Amino acid sequence: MSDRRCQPPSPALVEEVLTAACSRGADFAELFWEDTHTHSVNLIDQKIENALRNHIRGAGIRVVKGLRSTYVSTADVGREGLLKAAREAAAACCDGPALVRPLPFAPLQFADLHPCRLSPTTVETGEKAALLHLADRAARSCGDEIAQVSATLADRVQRVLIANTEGLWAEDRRARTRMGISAIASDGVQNQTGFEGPGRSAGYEIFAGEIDVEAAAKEAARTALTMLHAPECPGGRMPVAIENGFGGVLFHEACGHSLEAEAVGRGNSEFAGRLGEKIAGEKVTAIDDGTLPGAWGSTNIDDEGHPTQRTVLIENGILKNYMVDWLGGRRMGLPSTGSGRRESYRYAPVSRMRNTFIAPGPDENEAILRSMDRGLYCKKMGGGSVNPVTGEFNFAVSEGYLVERGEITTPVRGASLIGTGSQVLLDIDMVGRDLAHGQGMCGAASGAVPTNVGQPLIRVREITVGGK
Amino acid sequence: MTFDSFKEEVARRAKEAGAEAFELYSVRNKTMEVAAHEGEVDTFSSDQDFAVNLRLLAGGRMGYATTQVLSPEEASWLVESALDSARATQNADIDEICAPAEGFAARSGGLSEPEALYSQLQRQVLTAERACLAADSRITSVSDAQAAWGGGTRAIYNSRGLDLSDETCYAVGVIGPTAKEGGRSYNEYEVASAPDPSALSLQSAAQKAVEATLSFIGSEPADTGRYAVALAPAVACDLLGTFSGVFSGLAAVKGLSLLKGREGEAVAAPCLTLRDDPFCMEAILHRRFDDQGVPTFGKNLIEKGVLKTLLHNRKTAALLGAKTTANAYKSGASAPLGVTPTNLYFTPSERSRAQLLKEMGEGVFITNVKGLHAGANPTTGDFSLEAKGYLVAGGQLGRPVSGITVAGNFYQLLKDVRGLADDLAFDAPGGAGQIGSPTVWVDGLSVSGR
Repeated sequence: MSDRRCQPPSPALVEEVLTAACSRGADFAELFWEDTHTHSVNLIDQKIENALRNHIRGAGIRVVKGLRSTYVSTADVGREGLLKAAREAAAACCDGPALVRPLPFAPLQFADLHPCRLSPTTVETGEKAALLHLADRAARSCGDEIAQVSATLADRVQRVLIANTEGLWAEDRRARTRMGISAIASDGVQNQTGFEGPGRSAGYEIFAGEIDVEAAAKEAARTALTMLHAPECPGGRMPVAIENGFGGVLFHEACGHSLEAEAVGRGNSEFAGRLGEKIAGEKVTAIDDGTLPGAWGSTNIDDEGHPTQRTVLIENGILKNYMVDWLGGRRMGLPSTGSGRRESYRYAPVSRMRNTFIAPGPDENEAILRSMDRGLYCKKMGGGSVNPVTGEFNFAVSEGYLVERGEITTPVRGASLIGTGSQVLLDIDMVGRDLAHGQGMCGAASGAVPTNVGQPLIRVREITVGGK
Repeated sequence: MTFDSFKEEVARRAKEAGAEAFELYSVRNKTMEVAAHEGEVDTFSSDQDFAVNLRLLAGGRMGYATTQVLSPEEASWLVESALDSARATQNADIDEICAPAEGFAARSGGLSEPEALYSQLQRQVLTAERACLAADSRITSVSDAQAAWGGGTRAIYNSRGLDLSDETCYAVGVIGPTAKEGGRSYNEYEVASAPDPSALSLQSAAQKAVEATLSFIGSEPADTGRYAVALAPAVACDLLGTFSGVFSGLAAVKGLSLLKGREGEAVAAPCLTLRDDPFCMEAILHRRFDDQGVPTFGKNLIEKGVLKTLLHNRKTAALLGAKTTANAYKSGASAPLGVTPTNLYFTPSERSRAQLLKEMGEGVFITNVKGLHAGANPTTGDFSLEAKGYLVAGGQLGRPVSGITVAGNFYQLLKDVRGLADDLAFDAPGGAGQIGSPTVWVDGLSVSGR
């Protein structure tokens, strides 16, 4: 399948569009244009169920006056379509004489930290299908109780242009590739599932070394089989150890969303106005880093055209910074941290997480488990959600074990963890050394964006475990 | 290039390439959304979307591809991509590109944007935000005051003579006041929806949201244990919506539903009837044909506890030896054909919620659950969710509880229903319709707290 060349709008047209966007008195306008090819190949029942290609092309125009912003998006990216969108956004924003004109564009130069060496658009569908069959066979080899395996290979090549009235002209090409494997174990009466979803900001070269498809499939099957034979998790308050990798979803939900400018700037966060204060245990240092080479949540530039950064959020328990987009920064009087993100041209950008993780700490894994007389060891976490206003969060434990007198004993299923972010951060009292990341899709006001979560093994002194 | 000439171009190229049949499914949507913050509309967004999906049958296999671009080269890419997709597919597909049902026609009259849409939405959010702040001095701010209108036209055109189109639109709003007391924040949301913005009552939603928010001040967890539980309509809707996939013929085909092949068996309590009705009067969306162009109709999925049918499109019906229930659905132009309910609801009884709680006697009335996307597993039926509500003692609502989880299994819950009230309510429109339920009394569920 050819990677068809498609040209973004010319500088002259973009200037005309931004001028129209500012014609009613706005102080800032921005154009986001994208041309994206996605391909997903899906396997179930040992057969390729379907293969879906999608070509997305559109643009969004944002117009801002003070803190008021309007956003109009359209799939019609011809001159008339763009000008119509610009005029609609301008009229909805303000009603006065033009105050600013677009500055001459200065193309942004940057090194490509997340190169794509084997473009998804050049890989034959048959090769993708072969990878899925490999995963399917590996998962099924784990036992007769594996009743079903579904696997998806999804890739996306997104070409973007971001230009604004301050002279920014930034173009980038972003590739993302991910496999999702879901194994279902069944004894005929009940089902249990296991999932692995490794992915990178890269192309198909990741399957030649970095990601072991068969190992991931076997891991998904192992979780499903373990949980099929696990009794229900008991509920109540207890200490909890959360394993590295996707376990970082704890920080993502319990705290990350509440450190986004979108919540903080409007006063809708329990951490608003608390820079410099101790908000977490002393062993907690938390970082949001958009620059990790090839990581799932990385990009060279954010969706407002600002280079991404490594942002230290919490250092030894002290709140150091928030994740700030351009408009959130204007509201809060802070510089952008390169955190403005959006799913596609259909969304105005807001502050979002990228690769968020708790940094390695001082404790040995064994010491963490030994410290628990009766508690829960969460080997795998599912997703979760939070209300940043109150900090109330929840998330699911997809593979849990009881810890009794310092030893991991019985696997248990059906657990969830709940609490409030400000409390759980203070209750993280042990942090291990072996940092690992997991991949997820994070949903919020600007759509679903890829994010990494990560941490070493950590201990939470006490938390409410939902069970039966 | 116009859509009509694009259609002709695709038809010509599909024929040249030897495709046995093809179908074009297109959507054209318009949405507008506004949000208020501190007495002003501070965000406005509007989206004009278009996408067309090609489905074609080649060599007995179905191929798919989607684009937003209309040009002769794109028509060629679309056909080539769909052929590539068909070649990769290993399912000997059932030919489900269908001729129109006899005597059935539907043509969209075109979507019209409501008059003065922007100012209507603006009035809704500003009034609702003000109403929250004026209602009680403990309300310190409003975290969310948003209203949106969305409308779309859908068209299906195929090489076997099907040519249908229709339009849908609705307005929806959300309001979330925040109260602060004793160093704690409280924030409950209320969602309102209506066929158009002038009928949206975000102000009365604001009133309810304020009452709910204030009612949780000083709330504490309940003791861990097993309780009789009454699920408020919104909570029962959340659970039913999350687990609606267990009634999907497609899930059954894939071995993901434990209800596969159990038609005619008792799968729920005898007091429970579950209905899927595209023309339900209390719902906003009324869908006349499904995404394969089949005319829709109402049917009971569970009748007095007995499973009558699963939801089917033509393919899942053929594979399971059933009849289509006209529930074919694409979750977007680029999505493959699946199955979804239209307006799916537990039918209400004659008794009031107060009467139901009286019969329940002791337990918990759950008004809010969170974390459905992760804490509920549609394949296993298991759920363990963050929850809030009120204790019920002596048949009366008692103190508020928060910081608890409620856990159970959806398949078991259906069997454990002891009664339903008369307060049927529907959630916000989404997909092909809405989910509805009255208050549902379940005996019992596991609560984790202190």
